[in-house]
Amino acid sequence: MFTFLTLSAALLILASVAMIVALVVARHRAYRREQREAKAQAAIETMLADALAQGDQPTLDRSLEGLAVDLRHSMVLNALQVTGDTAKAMLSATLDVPAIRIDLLRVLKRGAEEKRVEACELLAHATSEESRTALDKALHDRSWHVQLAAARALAHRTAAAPATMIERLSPTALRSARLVEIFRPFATTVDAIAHDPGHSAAVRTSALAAIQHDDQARARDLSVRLVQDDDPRIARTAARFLDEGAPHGSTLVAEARAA
Amino acid sequence: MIDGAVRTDLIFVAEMVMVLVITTGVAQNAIYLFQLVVAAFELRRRPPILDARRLWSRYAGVAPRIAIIAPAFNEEATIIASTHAMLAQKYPDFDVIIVNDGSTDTTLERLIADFELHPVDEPIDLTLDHEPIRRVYRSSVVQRLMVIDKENGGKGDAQNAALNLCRAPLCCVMDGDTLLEPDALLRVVRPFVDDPERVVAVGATIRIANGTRIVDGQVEEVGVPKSFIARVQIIEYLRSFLMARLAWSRIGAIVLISGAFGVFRRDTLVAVGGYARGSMGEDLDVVIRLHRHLRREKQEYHIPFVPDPVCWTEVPEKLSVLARQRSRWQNGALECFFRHRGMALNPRYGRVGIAGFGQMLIVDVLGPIVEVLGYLTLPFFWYIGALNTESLLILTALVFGLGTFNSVASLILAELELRPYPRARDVLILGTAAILENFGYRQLHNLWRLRGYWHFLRSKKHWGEMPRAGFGQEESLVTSRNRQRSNA
Repeated sequence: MFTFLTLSAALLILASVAMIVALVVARHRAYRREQREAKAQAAIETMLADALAQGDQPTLDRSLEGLAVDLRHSMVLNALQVTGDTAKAMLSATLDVPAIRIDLLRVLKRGAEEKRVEACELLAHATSEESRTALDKALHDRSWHVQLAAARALAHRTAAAPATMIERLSPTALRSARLVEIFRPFATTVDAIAHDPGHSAAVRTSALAAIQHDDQARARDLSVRLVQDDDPRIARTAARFLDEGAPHGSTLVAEARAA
Repeated sequence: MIDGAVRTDLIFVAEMVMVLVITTGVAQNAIYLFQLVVAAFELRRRPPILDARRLWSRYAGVAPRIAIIAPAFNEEATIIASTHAMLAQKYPDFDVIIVNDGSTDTTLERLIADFELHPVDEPIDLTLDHEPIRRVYRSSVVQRLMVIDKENGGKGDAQNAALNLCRAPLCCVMDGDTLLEPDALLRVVRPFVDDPERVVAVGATIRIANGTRIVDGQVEEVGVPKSFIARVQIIEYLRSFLMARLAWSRIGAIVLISGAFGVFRRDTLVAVGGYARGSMGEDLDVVIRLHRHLRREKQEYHIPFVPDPVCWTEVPEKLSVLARQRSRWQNGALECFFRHRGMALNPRYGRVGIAGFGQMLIVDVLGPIVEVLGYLTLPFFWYIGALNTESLLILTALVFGLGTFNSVASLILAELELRPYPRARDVLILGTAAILENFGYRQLHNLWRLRGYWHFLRSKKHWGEMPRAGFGQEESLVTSRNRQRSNA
């Protein structure tokens, strides 16, 4: 028994040494590979920038098709965030190139969580019906981060505030403050949603927060009315806004509660 | 050597000591192993988002306002670089509040000169107690910078003064000598945005700046320090801070958010009475009080830990300075454990009481005493024949084997999931340090902790000096010093 335990402990130390050696070798290889990839990426980024500057869609499609999937997605995402309208339109068109679209849909189905979120963010800019269907499915993804990304992507394509769609998200997703972003583009038209007790508290507070971000005066009037709402979460959001964001907010809260 | 009844008694005592040492040692290592497994699961499930542009596009639009609070006491070497790094945050809406806690050096003068500070009248909320504020300054060049000059009262006291002047819903509490990553706030605000109703505080990963090249308050090149003492601390930070806190946050039992960096909801901090004044472990104390308060109020809450590296700190490279720091930490841990002893292993406090306080009991309260007791008595018992060679061997092998395995496994997990050090050479150096730390450093560390025990029993409260090389304007002096050493 003693010998066995002593040997086990000695083996633990040996295993530790072996793990370090293995890690060092793996890290050395990875470091070299990354350096090679960084060089290749820099070259392709230059090519992409040239293609975008010259409005050369076929070159853009070809260069993107030739890239590894991960690299392609992250480069397009980065480019979408910084490039101008024309370039964005070109990149959006690229997202509907069959090879790229198939990649994206595959990643959305089987990729890691972060990759699925990225795929949703990219598909927001794609126009095909197939991508829309995939995003609809992603609303029921096992990760609430993906659900939220899919909801944002779908909201990007709709003309009215997608309140009903948001109701389908999981309770964890509904807790996120990022829901507000979905309502922000429709902030001028979501008063009714904030008022409607038929919607969940999450949807109503998000609509209210979007209005608060968009128009302080309108938000103050709305908050005064909602401070006595039956739903405590709505009442709390309204009271908090009046307390923190509106001039004479505390007085307004007191008056509204007294009324 | 010794015969008769005395020998029988000695054998009994030796066996008892051995059982105590083995039980505590195995329990300690079992906790670390469990934390490692949970941390691995958590890192695999939610790896850090490396690209700051992604974070910005997802979170900047809904990120709440944050006030960065940094108390500074005699930080003239680092204060300007740290403040510049705080002001260089890539975050939509934030303020910086530096509290000069009665420094006796030129900390305030440097701030006044560098940021063109002028006195202002600010409304002060008097909810939390603190030493008198002498003057409040605003910068003429950077609107978001506020400097509070107050009488010396300790770190917690300075943080309370800043909380009274803070108007943001979230406050990021950090040390004046900590260097922030440019996207630190954006990384750490994620849990608050993801779950604004329940998240009350967030901790994040602190990395060691020694050996890293820092230019203009920005990390240029990550490296491993030349000093063995600093290298060992990297392993300690990975094992005891990163993995342990990540695991405990996953199961809802985190009891410590490091005073070097943490973000809190201001209203909750004020509700628990702010920071304990004159405490040696004010960062530990405040998180425990948050748990206690929120559990009593029966509120649903969560305190997550973000594995993303958000800031850099210098660690001591001199044994004497490190000894003082570790004694102080031990003193603080004991102070908090006994102050809140009612929560220890109390099922009313759920996982915090069982897992959080359980770990404190085994690692902080019993750990150093039992381990040093083992080092001192077991060789003696073996020498007088009360303990056989096999028992001594197994004990030694278990202590060193498990310790080495835990340290190396923590390093490997960090390297696989977070890749803190890109070069293979650095990994090899740290791997060697992970093995060697068990032979000599660990024993020394336990002696320092025993000294902390002694200070705690004598109610001795002294922070001690922590000399800083400074992050510098051009290049970290830490690096320069290391280079000079290597050139020599």
